[in-house]
Amino acid sequence: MLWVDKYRPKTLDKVLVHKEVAENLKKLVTEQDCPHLLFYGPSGSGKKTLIMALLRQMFGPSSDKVKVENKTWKVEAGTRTLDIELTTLLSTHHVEMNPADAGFQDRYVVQEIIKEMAKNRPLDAKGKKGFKVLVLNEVDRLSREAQHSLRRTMEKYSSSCRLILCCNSSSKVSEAVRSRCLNVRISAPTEDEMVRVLEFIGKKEGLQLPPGFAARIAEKSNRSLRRAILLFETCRVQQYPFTNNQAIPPMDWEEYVSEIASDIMKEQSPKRLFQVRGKLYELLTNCIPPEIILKRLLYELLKKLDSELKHEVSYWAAYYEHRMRLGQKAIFHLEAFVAKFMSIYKGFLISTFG
Amino acid sequence: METYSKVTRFFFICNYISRIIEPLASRCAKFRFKPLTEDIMSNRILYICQEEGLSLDSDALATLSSISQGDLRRAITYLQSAARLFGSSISSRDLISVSGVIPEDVVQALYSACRSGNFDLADKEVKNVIAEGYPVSQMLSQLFDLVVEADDMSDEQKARICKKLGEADKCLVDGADEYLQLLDVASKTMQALCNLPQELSYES
Repeated sequence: MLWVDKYRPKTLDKVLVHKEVAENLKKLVTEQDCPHLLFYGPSGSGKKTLIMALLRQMFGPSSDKVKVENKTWKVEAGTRTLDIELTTLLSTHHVEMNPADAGFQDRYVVQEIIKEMAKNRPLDAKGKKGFKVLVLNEVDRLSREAQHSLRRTMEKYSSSCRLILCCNSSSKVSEAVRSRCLNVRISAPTEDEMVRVLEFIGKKEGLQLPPGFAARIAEKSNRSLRRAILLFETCRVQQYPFTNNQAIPPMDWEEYVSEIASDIMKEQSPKRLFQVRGKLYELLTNCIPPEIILKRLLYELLKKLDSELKHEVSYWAAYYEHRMRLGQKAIFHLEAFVAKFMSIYKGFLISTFG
Repeated sequence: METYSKVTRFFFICNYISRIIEPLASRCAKFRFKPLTEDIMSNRILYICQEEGLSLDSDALATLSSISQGDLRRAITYLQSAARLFGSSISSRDLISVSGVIPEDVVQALYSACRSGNFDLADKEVKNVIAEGYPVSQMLSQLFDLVVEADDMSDEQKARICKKLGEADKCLVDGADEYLQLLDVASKTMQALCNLPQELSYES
């Protein structure tokens, strides 16, 4: 079992970072009821962990017993019936799913599932009608229509189900949905907090940590706890006992992007652009999301540039990322950014050195 | 509307009278609702607090009225969320954390980083805002307030910044990446504040 899963805190009491949030959540569900919740924050900050712990707090250990179900939903959409396939995680008390996976049919999924859940309401021990919890991941990837239908369904069936929404950026969730939920901001853990978690894991595993080693991992991991723990485990596999100056391996795709960055700094020509295209394709076929590539590329380029160029380059990065979102094929926009950068950089070189 | 006026009466509710077509509007008696004054709002809030047994100090009350911007429903929602999350004694910090408003010092830190003219510093602040999970759209609107009220810059500088804020907001609505947009805004703000050349100089 990966350490990331092994040391995921199961209950709200055991949470190491976001203790304050956990305390408040605990207070919130003491009366066996809760409002709709919206968790937002960067990835690797512990949103999912808190949600799972919260469910456990509400329903006890039975919420851990989940089964995976790949179900086809039959949805009446106007004149025709649609079949939508979606994977859900079920327990007796909650359903978890990622409606954005249904693509442009996400709207129907949201409505249909909530309706079905509302139909068979669970009874609690005292025979009172209870409620189920629906956990929706990545709500920020839902289409506008789906978000609108979500808010209607939320109101209509609020007596029989509670929604827990989880997303990275709350800017992309519509105001109407946001205002119906209790918003919980989960910030990325600070480096000190990450060091504490790593040390905790080290102690549990019986490892000797040289001083400053955990801090170095934390520094490398971009404030994502998940990444820090994965890096930690990689280091453990690579070499144990740890040495003071042990190199912490960077992600291979990051190395690759940094290679691209130095490539285009070295030579600005159509030939080089063609080579870079191949490398970009390589990254894309390995399922690295294009916006992540672009961001990383910008990061690498900004490290090497003169400050007067930084403004311009960051402007174009934002410009092409926006276009990428509107368009269909990411490679066009990535390449356009690279070409733009080459042209700017060449212009800069010519005007400075003649 | 006209045919059945004997048996039916319509009540229309809308936010903007200008969006109702003239023929419809002219057939109705109009009642205009003004935003609630601060007095009325705070009275109502205090009444709710009293009934629910909540304690709210004057500082928190002021915060509540400023973050809800004259919207009583929003104020009550914030109050209820804060009460559920933090118990019966509510401070202004609690209210800010449930409302999703970004604390003033964070906005100020970003602004002064832009003022300093150091790109790397601004980049660091932007990264920090993203890592803390603050919604960027909110950040833009708070930056906007800050820029409009600032008295240490010229109108032209303000206009340049506001133009960029508008563009970035549209991009965010389209689903663009938060980090890149905020970085772009920060860079443009810096250019405006430090009177750097705004034109894209090396474009050929």
